[in-house]
Amino acid sequence: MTQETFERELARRADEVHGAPLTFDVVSGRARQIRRRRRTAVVAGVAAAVAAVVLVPTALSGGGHDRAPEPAPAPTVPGAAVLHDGVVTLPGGGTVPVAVDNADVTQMSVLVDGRIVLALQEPYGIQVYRPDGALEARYPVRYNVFATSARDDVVAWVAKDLSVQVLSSGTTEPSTWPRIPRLPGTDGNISAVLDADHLLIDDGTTTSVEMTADGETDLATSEPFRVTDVSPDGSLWAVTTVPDVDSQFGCGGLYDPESAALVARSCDVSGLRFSPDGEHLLSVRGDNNMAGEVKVVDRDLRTTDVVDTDVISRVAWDDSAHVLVAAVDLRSSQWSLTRLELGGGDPEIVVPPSPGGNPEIMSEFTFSE
Amino acid sequence: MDRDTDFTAYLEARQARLLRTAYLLTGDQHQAEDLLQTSLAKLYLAWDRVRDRGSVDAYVRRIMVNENNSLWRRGWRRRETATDTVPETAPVHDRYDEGTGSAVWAVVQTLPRKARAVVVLRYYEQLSEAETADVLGISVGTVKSQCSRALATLRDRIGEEER
Repeated sequence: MTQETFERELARRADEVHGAPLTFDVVSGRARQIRRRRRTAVVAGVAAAVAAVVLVPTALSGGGHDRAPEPAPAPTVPGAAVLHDGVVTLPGGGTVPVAVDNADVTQMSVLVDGRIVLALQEPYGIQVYRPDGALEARYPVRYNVFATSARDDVVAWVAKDLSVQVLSSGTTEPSTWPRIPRLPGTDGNISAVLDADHLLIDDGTTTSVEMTADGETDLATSEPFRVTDVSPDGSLWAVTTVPDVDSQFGCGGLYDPESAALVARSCDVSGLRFSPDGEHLLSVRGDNNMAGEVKVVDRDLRTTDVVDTDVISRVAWDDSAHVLVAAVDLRSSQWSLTRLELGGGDPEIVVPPSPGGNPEIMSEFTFSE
Repeated sequence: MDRDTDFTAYLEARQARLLRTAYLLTGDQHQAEDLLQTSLAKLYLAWDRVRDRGSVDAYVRRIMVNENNSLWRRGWRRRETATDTVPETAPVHDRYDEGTGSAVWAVVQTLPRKARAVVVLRYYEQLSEAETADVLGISVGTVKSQCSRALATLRDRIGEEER
């Protein structure tokens, strides 16, 4: 049996394949979906039994080629609130009824003044709810995504007229900034909110502009990357380098904006999000609105824990020692919410398995940013 | 020529061939169509970076292989029943085929993803060992050994059927 046999038979098998031609509109539409998912850094995963969701501590491994500086005492910010079945459960345990369907919600934040900010597919836009859950305001948008400051005191989005809107805790109306910067090939996206006066803007892959109410300035960084999160004390940015064709997700890093240097870097992580005390980060990799690989890493980007399950729809910090995981069993479409402790320990089933929708297009649990 | 016109011309010229490669990588027409659509969308997003139009095929092949090996698609496949045994399919015989076609296909379907990609790139796309190694990010030695193993498996299978 020769190589020619393989060549002949594969060619014969392939020649029998005919598909409906893909049009430019179909391909560019799919490209827009991918770009949107990259922008919102939505979390993702694959299927498995809900009860199998565990956090496995690891010997410190992989990770930073460079070590991050010793952490300064950092303020601790609240963990995630959870929207499920029309109710927002706050980090302290309080609940707020909100008249929305999870299938329509793409993002949530809870401001420190108690207001809840949602990005919605239907109706398409940003909606702000009072602390008691009553709808306060609805804003039309260009893209239904927003960014939240590390201290949960500011959210910002791009309005339908392309002006930037910045809503601060304690103020009723958002302030209107100039047009979102136009970057090569695209309108900019808001990578991060540094504070009420400073935003970072990217083109989908590279954060290259700092914006204020007065205008924009180029951001000089040591190398191209996109900022994915800011530490609670604002001293470090979590970043993802531009993925090339050889790396599906790009590499993760920690960037010190003061010294303009990448202080830790690992190609085993990306989509990094700081814990509420800034001591650890979640690394989330996935696609199709789910996460396939979730790790906890330290500030040297060495893996300390791995979320051991097949299918994760969403993951977030509950507090500095616990992670919330929304998982789904694709065979049965049973969704559940589990709380995992860093370093191991028995998983706590917060919401037991119940039927839900298709995780490729929605999540039954939405965590606050 | 503007960007979208340029991309559309490539799409129209190459998608039929790329679908066939996708089919050989996935073994399933539906998955192949989805893989092709996603890969072309990612190519479109990177279109401005692929300045050498002569290398677009190599670029999209690499996207397809990476995408096919991605975490998500691996998980998607896990929803299907995994098995170490060759699926029993009705052999297709024609006047040129004494069952060899079915045997080749059965062997390809049981190969691990990366080994399967090696076979498809080498024996269907007709890439050299070095080109195959480059696309897959593996050594030339690994390409040689994967091909050798696939051929040996095929010989064993044909031998079993003849016994």
